[in-house]
Amino acid sequence: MPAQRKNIVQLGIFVISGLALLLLALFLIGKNQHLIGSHYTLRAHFENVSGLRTGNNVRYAGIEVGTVQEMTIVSDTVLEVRMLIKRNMKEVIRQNALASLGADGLMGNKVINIIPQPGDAEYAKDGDLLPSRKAVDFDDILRTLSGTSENIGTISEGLKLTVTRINNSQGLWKLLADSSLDISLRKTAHNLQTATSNAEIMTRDIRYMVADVKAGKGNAGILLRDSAMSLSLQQTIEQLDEVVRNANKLAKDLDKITENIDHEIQQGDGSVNLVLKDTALAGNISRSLQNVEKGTASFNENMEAMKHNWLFKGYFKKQEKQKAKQQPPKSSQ
Amino acid sequence: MMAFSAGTAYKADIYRNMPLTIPPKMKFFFEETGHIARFTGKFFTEGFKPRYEFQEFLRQCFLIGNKSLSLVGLTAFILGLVLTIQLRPPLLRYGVEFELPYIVADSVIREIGPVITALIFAGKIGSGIGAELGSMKVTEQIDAMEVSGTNPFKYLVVTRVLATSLMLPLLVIMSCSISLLGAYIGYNIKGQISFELFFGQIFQWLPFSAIIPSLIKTLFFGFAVGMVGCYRGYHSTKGTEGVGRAANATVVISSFLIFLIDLVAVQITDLLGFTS
Repeated sequence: MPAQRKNIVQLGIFVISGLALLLLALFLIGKNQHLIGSHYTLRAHFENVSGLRTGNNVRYAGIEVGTVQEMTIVSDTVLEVRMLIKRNMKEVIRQNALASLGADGLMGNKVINIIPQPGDAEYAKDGDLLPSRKAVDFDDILRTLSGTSENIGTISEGLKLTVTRINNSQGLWKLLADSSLDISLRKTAHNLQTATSNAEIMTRDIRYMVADVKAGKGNAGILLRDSAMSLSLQQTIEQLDEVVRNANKLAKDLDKITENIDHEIQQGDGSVNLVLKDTALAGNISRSLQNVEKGTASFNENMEAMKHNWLFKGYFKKQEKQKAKQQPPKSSQ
Repeated sequence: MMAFSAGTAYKADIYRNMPLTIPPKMKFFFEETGHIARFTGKFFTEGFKPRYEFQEFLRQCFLIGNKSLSLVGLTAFILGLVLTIQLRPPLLRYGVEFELPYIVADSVIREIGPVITALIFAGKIGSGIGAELGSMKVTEQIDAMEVSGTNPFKYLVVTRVLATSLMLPLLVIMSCSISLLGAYIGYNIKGQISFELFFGQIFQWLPFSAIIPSLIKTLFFGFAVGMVGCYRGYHSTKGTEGVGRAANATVVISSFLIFLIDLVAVQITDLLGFTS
């Protein structure tokens, strides 16, 4: 092969490979943007597309199935998004599938997610309008976060106050600083353990007691379970009732007697009424008592005179000596 | 009427007799601009007229395209590799490492690939054209061609400028592809990604607006390099020294023009909404 011809072949290879690479790149871009291939159109209405752009991806259950072809303003609150969808999805996407606006990560590109819904519906045809769901607005999230942070602020303020109070509490710190606290706690725990075991024993005893009572053992058992005892108890109660009735009658009789006595005292002709009611008698009695008092004083004087009489003086001295003997001798100081 | 005519003649005399106050360097700049504009215009008038120097065009395509591929390819490979390794740490810091293939591809295809390839192209091909045509000029081979009945402009200039204009976009396609291959290897040096996933991520997000304007501007880069090289060589003087000057001036001017065209291209693509 002559050199010039060889050069031309090499040039041809160079040009063709360059053009092939260019065509391959264009094809791959076109394929990814769904400009090449067979497609159909679906529509969805949104209130706000949050920065969606022509060429953004459309996903069905997370798989890329198309791109956003066009966005038009239908009215002041409705935007229509037209989506180019791969034709092989015609037998997959149903009319009740929900179009929702999403994003690739927190800062990524916007995407439209077509979410399949339960229920039987016809397959979506070319130009069909899919129901749409309102997108989660980043501003709404921020607003909610703002409220949450305010709540956290309030909670932390309360916590701060609590901690300050705890810090300022002398008693608590003294309690915590008390080295004998652990011993006390240990003792308390031990006591609690003992109390628990006692309670356990008591419960067991009560259980046995209840079992005995159920079995009719012991006084309580007999009382509660013995039918004969029940009969005698009933008789006793009846007798008690009788006694109470008699006592009642007796009380009434006594009441009557008291009434009669009172009547007799108040209005009767006996000595009691005379003593209690006659004022002249009362004066007589008083005078008599005065006379008795005077008589007694005179008698005392006579007795004193007898003590000094030589006839009776010896008798009184003898009596004083006997009295002195009977008294115990006084201890010397 | 007479008075008006007399006044007009008087003013014309004033302008004629007025000393030229334009600084010599500026005058030279304007002269050069005028010459280049005429040279470019001649390319369009001569280029479309038969007879076409097809064989020479193909030869030039081979020399310009094929012979530059190894240098451009090696540079592009290193460029992709280095760019990926250097871009990885900041992307890791922001937790967007998965965007690395797309970021590298976007920057290589939109800007770095075309501009770096065009600069290498200007250094290798532009200087070569300037030196070749300059030596032909100083050895009077161009005059000899004219004498022999061959149109030297068609044979030398039109073929070279067409070849640079068409070969540079192809070289850029090649260099970008090799760069992305280097980027894939660079990614796998530090991390791990499959070939399919790497290129899948690139073409998932890469728009047509990244490729088409980039190719269009490389066409202008190639045209500028070829035109400057041919002009400086075609008009070189002062013997062998002029050849060196022509080669040097070609590299300097065409490098400057590459950035200027890039600036204009960015403004136009931005106005047309192709930057996003």
